[in-house]
Amino acid sequence: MSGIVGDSSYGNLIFQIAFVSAVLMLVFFKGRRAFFVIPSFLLFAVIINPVFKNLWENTLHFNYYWRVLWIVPVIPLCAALPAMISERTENKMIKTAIAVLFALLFIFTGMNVYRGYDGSRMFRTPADNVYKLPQDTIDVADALLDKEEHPRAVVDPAIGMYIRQYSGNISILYGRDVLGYIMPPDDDTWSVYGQLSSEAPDLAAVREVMERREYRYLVIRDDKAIPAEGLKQNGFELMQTVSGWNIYTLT
Amino acid sequence: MPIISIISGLILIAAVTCVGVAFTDDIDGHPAVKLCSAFAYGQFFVWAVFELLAVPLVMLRAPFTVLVYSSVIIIGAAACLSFIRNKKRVMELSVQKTGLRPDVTWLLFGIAAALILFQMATYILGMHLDEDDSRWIAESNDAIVYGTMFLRNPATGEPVNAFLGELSKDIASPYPMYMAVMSLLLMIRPVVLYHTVIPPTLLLLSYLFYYKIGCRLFRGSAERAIFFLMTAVITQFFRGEGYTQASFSLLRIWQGKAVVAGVIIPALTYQLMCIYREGSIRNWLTLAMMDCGACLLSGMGILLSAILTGLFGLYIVCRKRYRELPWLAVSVAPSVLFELVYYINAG
Repeated sequence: MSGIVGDSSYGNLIFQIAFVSAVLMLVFFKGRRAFFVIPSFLLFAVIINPVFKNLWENTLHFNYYWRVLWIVPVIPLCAALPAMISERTENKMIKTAIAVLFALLFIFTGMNVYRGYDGSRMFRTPADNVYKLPQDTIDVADALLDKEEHPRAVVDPAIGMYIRQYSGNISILYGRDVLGYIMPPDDDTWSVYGQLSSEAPDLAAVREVMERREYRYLVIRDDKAIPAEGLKQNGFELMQTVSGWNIYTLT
Repeated sequence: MPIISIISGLILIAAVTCVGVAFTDDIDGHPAVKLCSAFAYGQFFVWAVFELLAVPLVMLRAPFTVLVYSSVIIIGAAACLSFIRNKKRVMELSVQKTGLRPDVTWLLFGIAAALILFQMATYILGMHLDEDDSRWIAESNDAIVYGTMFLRNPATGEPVNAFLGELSKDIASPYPMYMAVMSLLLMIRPVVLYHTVIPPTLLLLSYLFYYKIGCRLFRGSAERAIFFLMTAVITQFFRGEGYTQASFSLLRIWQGKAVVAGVIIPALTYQLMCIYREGSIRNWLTLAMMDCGACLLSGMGILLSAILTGLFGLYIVCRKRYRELPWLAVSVAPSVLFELVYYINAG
């Protein structure tokens, strides 16, 4: 049903109707509830307005104009609508019926936050561990920390995103920074990232960077087709295999 | 979680609640809500203190330990002072009891509470991976391990000589440093604090302010219950394109910008409602504290709190409540100040 009423950052049609209805109902109230009316109108006049939208997007630092929509009081006003309607009666059963009706309307026309677009679950339950990080990343990190207090490693992009969330003691050549969030990636980073993302990495190129930048460990998937000869030739010695990852030491 | 962490957590909650007692209002009669309110206002005080302490310390490149000690001393002193000055109110909070009258209203409250508990349990038991965490959690880790603030590249752990890229944004909103201090005090890893401990607490604060908004809007307990239930239902089913306030509240409330969406916006809305009714100095100063606390969390906290307060300022002008304009200026001052810091550093 949510497909019929559409969905966007402004919510679906039902939420939009509920929001506008609540504002209109509040217009006719004086006193405490008028609070929501004036800021709502001002908000629409100054912020959520096609003319000003460009101004906000171009002059302010945020590229995420949609975040401004958070301050539109959609949740309190949509929630206020059934409560305001129920005020018209003294009968508690009717009040309850109104609540149930609106709850069902919002449930069946809305989209569950916990479901992705493809129906996938946004939360994996139960969690792999108390850290809420992939277990294989934790295993690799623990294996590295067993060897040194401050290990320096080149890790596969798949775990590079999480390993420093687990421990700040581990230094890696790149993580999410391969996308340039903090510093633009240098040639070394691109080179190693490219090699580790490929099915058959050029270990000589990886070793050259690791030696120069003083990284001692290399972490790659154990199903990657890397000839043992090539590893040995380039000075990589298998230290441990944990949770589907091979940890090599550069000798 | 070790016993010592639980004890530290209880001491911290007690201290924060003591501070918050000074700011609570008396609108909500239920003792549990009063207790939560005191904790919520105390939390805003703590965020505001951290913002005022951490930003200059980060810019001066002071060691992380300076932030740890100074924040503990100030918050501890504030808790003691508040306890001494509000001893009677603190004691009232701890001894009040209330009886439940089973009727339809309580059924609706019960359903809402069950839904909120489910949402909190999802945070405790489930895991949701988000790439943005690789910055903030690593920044907290680096502060603890290396004793510096934002002087390591969180992606790699390598030292940097300047506040580069996204690090420059974090100077004005050093939320990861707050989390690092908390994880030191609680003696747990930052990642556990971010992913497991903080989310249910923040979600509770979010609904607390929705409840308080409901109390302001409706006199009848049935209407309040309906309003409260609806906020819980709508929050869960208002996904939109995945970037709505509701999505951020339920999927990743541990991140600074999501705290803004989930907690700051309802809290500011509630506080503005209080000022709408009564523009007392206490209400305005509480708003200033909340605005300052919002600045700690993210750049969006700085901006959205300024927009919300500024829009309300237009209303104040329209209603010719000119006497309150100086207090309005005091309230938006933190946002203006830290927005400047943001622009100077992030360009």
